Amino acid sequence: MAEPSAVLVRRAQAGDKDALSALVQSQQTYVYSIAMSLMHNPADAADMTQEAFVRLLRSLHTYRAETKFTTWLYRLVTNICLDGLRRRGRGVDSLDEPTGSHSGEDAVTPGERLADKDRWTHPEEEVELRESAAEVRNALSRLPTAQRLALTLHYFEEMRYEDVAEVMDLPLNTVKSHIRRGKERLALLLSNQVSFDPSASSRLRMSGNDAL
Amino acid sequence: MMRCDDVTELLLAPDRMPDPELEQHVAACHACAHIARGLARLDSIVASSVLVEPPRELQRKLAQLAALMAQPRPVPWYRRPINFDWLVLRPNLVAAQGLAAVMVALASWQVFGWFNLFRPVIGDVGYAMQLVVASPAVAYLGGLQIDLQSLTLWSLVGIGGWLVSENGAIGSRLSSLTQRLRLP
Repeated sequence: MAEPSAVLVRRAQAGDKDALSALVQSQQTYVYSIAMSLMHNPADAADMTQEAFVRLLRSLHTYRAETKFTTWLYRLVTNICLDGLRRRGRGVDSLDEPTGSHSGEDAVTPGERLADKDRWTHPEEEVELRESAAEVRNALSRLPTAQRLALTLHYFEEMRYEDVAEVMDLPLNTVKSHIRRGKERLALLLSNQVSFDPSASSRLRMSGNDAL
Repeated sequence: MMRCDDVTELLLAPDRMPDPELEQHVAACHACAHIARGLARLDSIVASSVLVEPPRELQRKLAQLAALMAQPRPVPWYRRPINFDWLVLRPNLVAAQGLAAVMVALASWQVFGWFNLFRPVIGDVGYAMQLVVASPAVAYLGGLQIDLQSLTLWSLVGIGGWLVSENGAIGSRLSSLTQRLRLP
């Protein structure tokens, strides 16, 4: 996350062409990434990104530096994307809705966990992690909206949990829970193809069930 | 003694702090080390995958948008920096300032000259009326009627001149009539 300098933001607010260009250029990847994370579709994400920047440039003078600029911008993008999803008639699960297990794979008995224990002793079976970005994004797209958005923001550089909570307008603990569960689920989704062997997966599933 | 399930919990905790006991367990337990390595790799893979470069076409559109929206906003007068350019000496400005100073001096002389006519007039209405009649303001108002008459007269002359001029209401018709009759 590249937080633009206060000077750059002030110059952009005053209508400085170079500052506006620099601001847009420094934020376009982050804004597009959030839009991609929520819309799942490059064309829709591009539309939302453009709409977000139009609104940003129109309302830039209202930014008062009481919050981080990036937090303000990402919240704007998030709201635009959620509205966009609703307009397109695509279901949006509430961000503050508790997102628990979505499939039966999370239900693992202690017996199964114990049975899987011995597989940890065979590191030679572990394969190298060679997930392509597309596969990771595919796995991310299978997460509930709140977990996906929380994880996307969490993996932006320098984005603190407090910032993620502010962007998503959720309590800090809810955001931490979304990130934790999202990471678990992501580890499980990617474990079938890559490094985690089944016993590790079952321990993660177990851990996920404990957290619910 | 830390249990492996507890270690998984701790490894997944979002705000994990450095914990010597945890590090010790992971170093000693192969299974937990495997999970720790896996989660670290997951972090690095996801971190490098969540950022998606916008398409070139979108980048171009956004650059155009930024250029289009770049219009300097008017700064309110109270936020404008004080400008002392007017203090710089320029020949025209010096001449204008000199003329203004002379006019102020003349006006002051007139005003203070009129002030000198004042004497205590409390209770002496007759003398007060004399002062008013003798004041330059009354003399000016007396001449105002003549000024207005002159102004009206010369305005009428001007309007008449414009009416018969080439662009005036009468003049333009006269010229078109002349052309129609092919008069020299």
